[in-house]
Order: sequence, then structure tokens, then C-alpha cells
Amino acid sequence: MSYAYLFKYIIIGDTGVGKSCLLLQFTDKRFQPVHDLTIGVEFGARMITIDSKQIKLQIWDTAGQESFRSITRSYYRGAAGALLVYDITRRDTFNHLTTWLEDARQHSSSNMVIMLIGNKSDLEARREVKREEGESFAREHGLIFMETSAKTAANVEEAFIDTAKEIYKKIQEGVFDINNEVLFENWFLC
Amino acid sequence: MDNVNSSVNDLEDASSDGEEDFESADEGEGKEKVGSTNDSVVRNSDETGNVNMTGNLSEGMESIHFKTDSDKSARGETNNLVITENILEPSPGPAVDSNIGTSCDKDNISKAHDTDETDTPSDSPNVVENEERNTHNTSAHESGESSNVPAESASSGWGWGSWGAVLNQATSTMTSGLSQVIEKVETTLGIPEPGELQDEAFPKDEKNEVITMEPKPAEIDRGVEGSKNSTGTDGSNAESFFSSWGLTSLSSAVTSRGLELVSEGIGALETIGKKTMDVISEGDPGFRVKREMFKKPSLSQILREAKEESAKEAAEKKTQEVLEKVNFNDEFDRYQGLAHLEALEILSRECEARIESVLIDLFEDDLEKAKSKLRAIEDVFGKASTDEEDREESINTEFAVEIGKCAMALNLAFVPNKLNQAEELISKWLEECAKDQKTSVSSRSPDDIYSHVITSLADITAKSIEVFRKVSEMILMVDDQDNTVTAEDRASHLYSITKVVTNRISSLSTSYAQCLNTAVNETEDNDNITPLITEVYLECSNSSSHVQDAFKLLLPVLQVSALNSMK
Repeated sequence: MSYAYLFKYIIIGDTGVGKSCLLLQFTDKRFQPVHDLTIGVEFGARMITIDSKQIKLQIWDTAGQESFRSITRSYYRGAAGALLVYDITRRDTFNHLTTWLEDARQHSSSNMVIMLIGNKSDLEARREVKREEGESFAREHGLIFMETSAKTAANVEEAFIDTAKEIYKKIQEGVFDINNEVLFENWFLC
Repeated sequence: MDNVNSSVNDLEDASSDGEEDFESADEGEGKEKVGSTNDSVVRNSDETGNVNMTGNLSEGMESIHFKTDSDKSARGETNNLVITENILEPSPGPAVDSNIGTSCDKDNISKAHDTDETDTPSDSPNVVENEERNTHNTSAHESGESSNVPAESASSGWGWGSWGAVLNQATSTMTSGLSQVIEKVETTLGIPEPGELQDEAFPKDEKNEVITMEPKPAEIDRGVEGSKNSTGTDGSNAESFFSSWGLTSLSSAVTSRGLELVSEGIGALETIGKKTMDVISEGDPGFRVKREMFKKPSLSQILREAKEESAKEAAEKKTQEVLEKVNFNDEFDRYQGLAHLEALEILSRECEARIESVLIDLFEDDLEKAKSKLRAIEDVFGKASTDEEDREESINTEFAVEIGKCAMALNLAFVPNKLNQAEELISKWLEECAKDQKTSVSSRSPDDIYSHVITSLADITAKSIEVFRKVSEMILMVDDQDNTVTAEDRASHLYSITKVVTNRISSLSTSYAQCLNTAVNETEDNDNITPLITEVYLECSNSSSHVQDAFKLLLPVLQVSALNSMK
């Protein structure tokens, strides 16, 4: 159970884009098509290895519902990474990205690594948002971009791990103040 | 009286100095008189206990002194002890014996005196000592004379003169006694001459080297060092002081000598202690054996203890291994208990901040109303922390039913299914465990039971905290629309949930302990099991307090809800 770093992630985005499914796929490697609506926040955790260092990802999967927004915002604080998720089959979820991004930037560290995720890539036939659109939005706002499928698990591992790699890089560069900001090096247990 | 005479003769033979000879002989006479005039002295003592006490003290010192004298036989020593008492109780015989003691003492002193004088005539500290000795020699002489006075005055009545004489005698005996102790210890205990000791500690060439390199400070340093090592500056050194360094070196020599005297005194006391021990053990032959018994147990005992200790250690280690394998904190984290708690804390903190900002904006009337509402909720929480005693034993009623009732009463679109499921799993496990243990006691190993206990406790605790967090979120979210249940009511319903959970946990601890006990009867591994059972109870009570602490975090949330309902 010992690890070198603990990264807090938040998963944000409109309701029904598959945030909880992504988490479940990453932590449990399974897909559950019917899901209860997330109340407030759900949690998941997994250990990964970067540069032969054990890193624990503590993931806060927030509720996408508008009514929970004021509460979920409170949970952004202290996050080292964020997965901003939209549904490639629903244009409106892509259109809301700006508000989500503003919210995230406002309530968390400016150094937080944000990964833009276009989910449900398996539903190519129903695609409403082109891959290029996502790519350009990411470029514009300085985000990493990836299209994933929680159902087929395509790119799910990569999405979480690449974010961690970016955070780790920032730590090596000394951008993150490990003690004060978002990362707690063995801050409890062990 | 034969004894006295022989001792006096001895003295005359031993001492070479005429004056000394006279003194010791004279003193012998004087003391004899003391012996014969014991009556008067004692009578005096009746009224002036003080004086006699001091006299007695000085005699006592002498007797201690004799004890340390290796030349003296045990008989002589005990006699001396008797004498000191006899000064108070008239008994002429032993009093005469005491004279032997003192005169022999004198003999030794004069010998020491002689050697000192011949060896180191110019040694300044020795000069001081000689003077001291002379004074007490004369005072001893005086004591011999003064002891005559009370004898005479006793017949002519009690005059002030005789009082003074008695006082004089007492003090002089005391001082002589004291200095005699020190000198006697030095000479008779075989403590080597200070000079010799120093020579041993500092070989001659080394000493010279130091002097040539840095004469003055080195000398002082060496003096201090010498005194630390219970050695002293010898005569030749003192001479060199005089010739080469004059007064400054003289003063340094005096200080070093002083230090050296002190350390010598300490060394002497140590030797006295050792000697006393020997004397005690001589008097009581069983003493040594007794002491040995206290100190060293028999070999078999040592081996038995070592075996017991290693067995205990092994058992502890084994328990430790099990404890390390399953750790509540790790398990609690695995069930996301820490994350739930962190989220609940975040909500609680934010609500606290919100309460403050709301109260600041309120006007007087509203402020009073708001404060009374806040207080009402606080009271519910206050009650919760005090009435822990009236624990309703609701073990028989279904846990899920109880929790469901409370959750319903909260009137939030939330059913604590996860908590109920966790409890259900535990109940099932306990049932199965009891069934298995009935058919075969060894079906469950204590370690397995323990791991299950910790895991399930972590689970139920994490789920309870999750309930609190979710309820908080719901309350904060729903507030604007729904006001059918007041925040105060919700507080008491949430308290009911807390109570149901903690009661269940405490009943679980009993069930788990039973399981462990059954498992133990089979394995006969009692040493290993007792700490495990203790650990189970401990973890259960820890879990209960985690749940209660989490409940307390709800206070600001409910207060915010109450404030919102005012709008």
C-alpha cells in the first residue's frame, strides 16, 4: 500500500457523458451500461507506476447534474489532474465545455493538468462532434486530448496514465509545490 | 588497666618525638580521668544535652574511624562503639578501653606527622596540616586538663566556669575527632601518598614536557586534573613552584591542593563505605548470601525467564504479523472511507464559512431568530454527545429496517442501500461462521476471523460516513425547494442513524469476540489470541468514534439548512 505520490483527480462534465463508466473501467476494468445517477461525488482509486515510482490515483467522480454544481465545485480543490469529459454523440455536451473549464480553472490550482476526453468513441455512427474539433479546443485551451470508449476500454488507461505522467513531469520540473498544493507525498498512512 | 598501660608503652616506643610522646601519654592520663569522673560529666549532660551530644558525636567519629582501621580487631571496634554510649551511662571499665582507642589514634597521627615533616618539610599544604594538627593536639591536651575541672567543680557545686570547660572539651574533642578521621583514613586505609599517585598518573618526562611548552597554564591545568584523578601535587613540585613562579604559583598550588583534598575525601568516603560493607558482612555471615540471592537468581531461573520471554515475544510477533497484514486504516481507505470523510469535511468547512457570512449580513431581529435556530440544532448535537448511556438494545430489530426508517424520516431522495448491504454481508458471515464452528470448531482460523473483523468494520464505517456525506449533499441541494422536514428534525434523525450504527458495531464486537474464543479453544494458542480479542474490541470502539466524529461534521450543514429555510 505504500506509494511515492498521491494524485487527486476530478472527473467533470455534463451528466450522462460516461464519467462514472470511465472510472469503473479504469478501476475495475468492467463496463456497466445502466448506472445510478451520481449523487454529489463517487470515489475510485488505483495504483499506477511511472518512472518506477508507485503513484496512487484517488479519483473524485463528480455528479454532472446542474443542481449539484455548487457542491461539486467544493471538491475541485486540491486536484492535481482533471478529466473533462464530453460525449461525442451529443453536441451540447461539447458546447458546455467552456463553462466547465472556467469552473475548473476558478476552483482549483492553475497548475492542474486537464485532459479533454471525447467519450463513447465506440458509437462512431452517432458521432456529432468531430475528432478535429476536440483537438483544436484542447490546443486552444492548453489541454491534452484523447477520444475514449468506456465500453470497449479504448484509450481509458492511456487517458488516466498520460495525465499522471504530465503531473509527474510538472513535479520533476518543480512547477508543483508538493507540500502546499495538490499533491501529498505519503500524507497519510505508511 | 593492663590494656591501658601496654598501649601507653606502645605509644612511647612508637613515637620518636619527645613532645609527641608527652602529649599522648598525657592524654592517656586525661582520658583516664574522664573515665573516672564519668559521673560528673553525665550529670552535666543531663542538663546540657547539647554539649554531650557534640562530645558524643566526636567520639562517634572516632569509632567510625576505628572501624576503617584495618589493624584493629573486631573486638576493639565494638568496644569503641560501647564507649561512645558509655559517656552517657557511667561505666568506668569500657571508658578506659576508649583511651586505648584515642591514644593509639594519637600514635598514628604523630607517626604521620613525623613522616610528613621529614619527607616534605617545605610543602605548604602540609604545613597547614601540621598547624592544624598541632592545634588539635593542644586542644586534645586541653581536653585532658579540662576534664579535670568538672571533677573538681562537681564537689564544690555547679559553676559557670565548669560549664565553659565542658563546652571547650566537647568542641575540641569534636574538631580533633573530625580531622583525625581524615588523617587516619589517609594513613590507615592504604591510600597512597598524593605524590605517588600523581607520579603514577603523570610520568615525570611528560610532566616536564608540559611545563617547558607552556609553563603557567599547564601547571594550573595539571593541578586541576590531578585533583580530578584524586592525586595531588607532590613536595618537589611545590618546591619548583616556590622557586620559579613565586606567589601566583603558590596560590594555584593552594587551590589545587584544596580540590585535591576534597576529592581525596570523597575517595576516602568510598573506601569507608566498602569497609563498612565488609564489617556488616563479617558481623552477619548470612548477609553476603542474602545479598547474592537478591542479586543473582539461579541459573535455572534465568533460563526459565529467558524461555518465557522468547515465547511471549514470538506470540507478540505473530500477532503483530496478523495486525500488519490487515490494517484498519488501509482497509478504510480501500472502501474509500477517507475520501468520503474528506468530502464531508470539505462540506462541513464550507458550511461553517457560509454560516458566518450569512450571520454578518443579518439585521438584529433576524439575527436573534437565526441564532436561536442554530442553537436548537446545536442542542440536538449536544444531547447526542451526552446521552451515550441509554443504549437501546436494538440488536433484535433489523438493522436495515431501523436505518430505512430514519432515512425515510429525513425525507430526502436517498436510501442508504450501500450501508445496509455492508451490514447484511457482516450478518451473513457471522451466521455462517457460527454454523461452521458448530460442525467443526477449527473451520475458521483466528487470523482469518480477525482479518474479516477489520475489513468489515472498515466497510461499515466507510459506508456510514458515506451516508452522512450524501445526506449532507442532498440537504444542501434540496433546501431551496423542500421544507417539509426542519433541520432540527433532520439532526435528530441523523443522530438516530448514528446510534443504530454504533449499537450495531458494539454488538458486532461481542459476536466477533465469541467467534475468536471458539476458534481459540481448538488451537490452544492463548498467548496469541488474547491480544487479538483486545484488538477487536479496540477497533470496534475506534470505528464507533469515527462514525460519531463524522456525525459531528453534520452540524454546520444542518445549520446552513436551517438558515436557508428562513429566507
